[in-house]
Amino acid sequence: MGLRRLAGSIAGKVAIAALRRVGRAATTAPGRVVLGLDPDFIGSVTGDARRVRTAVTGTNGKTTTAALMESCMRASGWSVVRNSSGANMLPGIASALVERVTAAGRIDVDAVVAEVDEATVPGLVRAMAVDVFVVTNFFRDQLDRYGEMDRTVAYVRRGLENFGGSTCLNADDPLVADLAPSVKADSTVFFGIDPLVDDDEGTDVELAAGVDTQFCPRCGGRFVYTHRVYGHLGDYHCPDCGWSRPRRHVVGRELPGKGTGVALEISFARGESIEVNLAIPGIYNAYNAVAAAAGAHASGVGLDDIRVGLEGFSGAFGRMEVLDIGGRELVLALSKNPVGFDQILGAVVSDDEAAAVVLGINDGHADGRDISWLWDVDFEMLCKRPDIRVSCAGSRAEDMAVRLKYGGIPAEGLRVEGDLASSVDAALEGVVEGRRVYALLTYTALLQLRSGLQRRGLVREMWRG
Amino acid sequence: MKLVLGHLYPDLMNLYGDRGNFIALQKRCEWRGIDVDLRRVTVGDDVNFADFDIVFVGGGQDREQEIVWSDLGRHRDDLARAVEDDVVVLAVCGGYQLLGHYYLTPGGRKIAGLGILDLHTESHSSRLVGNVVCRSEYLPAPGTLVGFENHGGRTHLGPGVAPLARMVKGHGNNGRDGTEGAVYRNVFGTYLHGSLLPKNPHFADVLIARALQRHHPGAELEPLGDALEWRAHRAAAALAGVRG
Repeated sequence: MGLRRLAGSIAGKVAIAALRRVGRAATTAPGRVVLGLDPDFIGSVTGDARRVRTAVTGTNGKTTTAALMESCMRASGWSVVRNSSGANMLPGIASALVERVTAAGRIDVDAVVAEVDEATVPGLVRAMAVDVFVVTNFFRDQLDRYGEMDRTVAYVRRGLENFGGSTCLNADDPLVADLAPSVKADSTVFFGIDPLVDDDEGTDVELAAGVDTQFCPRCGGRFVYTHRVYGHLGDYHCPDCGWSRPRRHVVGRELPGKGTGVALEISFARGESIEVNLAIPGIYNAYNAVAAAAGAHASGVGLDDIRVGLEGFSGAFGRMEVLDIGGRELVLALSKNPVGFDQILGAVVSDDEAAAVVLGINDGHADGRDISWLWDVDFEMLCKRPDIRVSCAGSRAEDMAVRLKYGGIPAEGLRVEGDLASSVDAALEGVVEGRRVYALLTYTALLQLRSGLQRRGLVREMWRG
Repeated sequence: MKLVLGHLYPDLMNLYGDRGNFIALQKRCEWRGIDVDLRRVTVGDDVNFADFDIVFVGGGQDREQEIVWSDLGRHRDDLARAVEDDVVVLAVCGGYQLLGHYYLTPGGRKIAGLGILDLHTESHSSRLVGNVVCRSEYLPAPGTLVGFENHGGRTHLGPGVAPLARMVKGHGNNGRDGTEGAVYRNVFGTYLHGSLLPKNPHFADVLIARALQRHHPGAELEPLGDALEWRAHRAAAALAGVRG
């Protein structure tokens, strides 16, 4: 082991200890210290992993997909290191790694699961010998940071051009599927979902307002969808150039549900299949599960272990995470772009126990400083449930409130204040036991609320989450 | 009274929550009892701009913007006639650039615009991004506009247009001359989104009032209870470091 790596590891460990003494989460600062001393730290230390190095990128579902993959690997008896806090640029990944470095300066794990921000994909591929790369989807997110979605796609494309492992791509998302010709990888695995279909669904389904892409990325022609799962995900073809959804190797067929979670039959390339009852709700989590199944399978996890891993998973940090606070349930849901937000709002309004919603909207750098996207979220859905009390908090509470007013949600009685923690406290106080409060939060709002709850001893420390 | 609102290319040019502008126009008419007829126009549709009272076009990604530019070319003369007839147009970001003479891509390719506004745009690799506060003589008190800008284009105004506003905070048209947006007759172009109209209710009402004047001279707009909108306006100014 090099001296740099040792120096970097020790400095990173010291930084973690120092931050925790003052009660702060050590999600990125230690990694910055380590990479400053040893720029090759990520590559050299992940070289120790005995079985596989994996990465997950895409707009929505990164954290949940990575957590599901880890769960499948653990079901196989593997030890795994993952950047579980959602800090997904190189310093965040380095922070998670340095925490696991032993006194001998090595990491003693079977597998690495790195959740990675789209713009960091080229950097990660340079830094680490990734064996399996999973791409979930591309939706509009945080545009002020990267310019436009096409540029986000271009970052991932550029990274994958230099990548030699196997790639798991969402075939139902044309922007992801279109990465395939650029990939140098040995093998490409396409995955997708066949949802339960309502009767009489016509062809060329009218797409919703927030849809990002309905035009062929190859020729600009207008796609025809024979069915649509949500957003621009579905079974598409282009009448102009003839391109259509690639044949899929891993397919999750949705089964009639038995509980709150989604039930799936996941079939793999060689005709094998498993039936999985997920504990987590929503068709977007079905995508996360199938993406994770494809990634775990490509990593060498057996099908039985994949089933156990997927079923045993109950939610990632801040992704529909349920906390018990004095007999009332507080559900934390990261809500950071229109498509993800719509999915979560849909789950909230269909929950009979939902009594209050706190919308915590910050415009920090990690959230995206531009909050225009609030106008693409279908908040009008809340009109279906006038019994749910709504409040707005965060640095953009006022913008959120105006959005609700124009969405037809009565402005009278709407609580608008910057302070998130007191909004959540007020919501919890106003709710009878057994009912649920949902906090839908942008990324920094989620971190703020969670670390406040943690200081008050109401949730586990985040870095163990 | 009735207004016809036309949303151009809502499926392609809705990059930055531009839908919010359209929702604001619609609601502020409905709350005053003005009937609203919403029409969406997209690639391949036939359209007669003289039928519209307010036309709105937002911003798109480069790929989608090119599809629009090639389609809108066939409507050029019709739109130009409607503009001379004082139809109200609000064009944001990419839609604003489209109304100029041309757009120079980073690769040096010149894409012809509609030439309705006397301006042109040159693309630049560094983007002008951030919260904006500016001051416009076209608006009643407080005269400020707040929003968010995010554009690679640098727009330069010719003598045939006036700037919509003067910068207080942010970059505006080109980051140099202190201007933001452009106005010609009832055509308003701007880089501001955020969305723009919901938290600038005075601007939304200027557009509605000008549209009503065409067929109902002397029509007055009933005031609305805009406390929440102004609170958001002041909060946005404060976030940009300006006391509203």
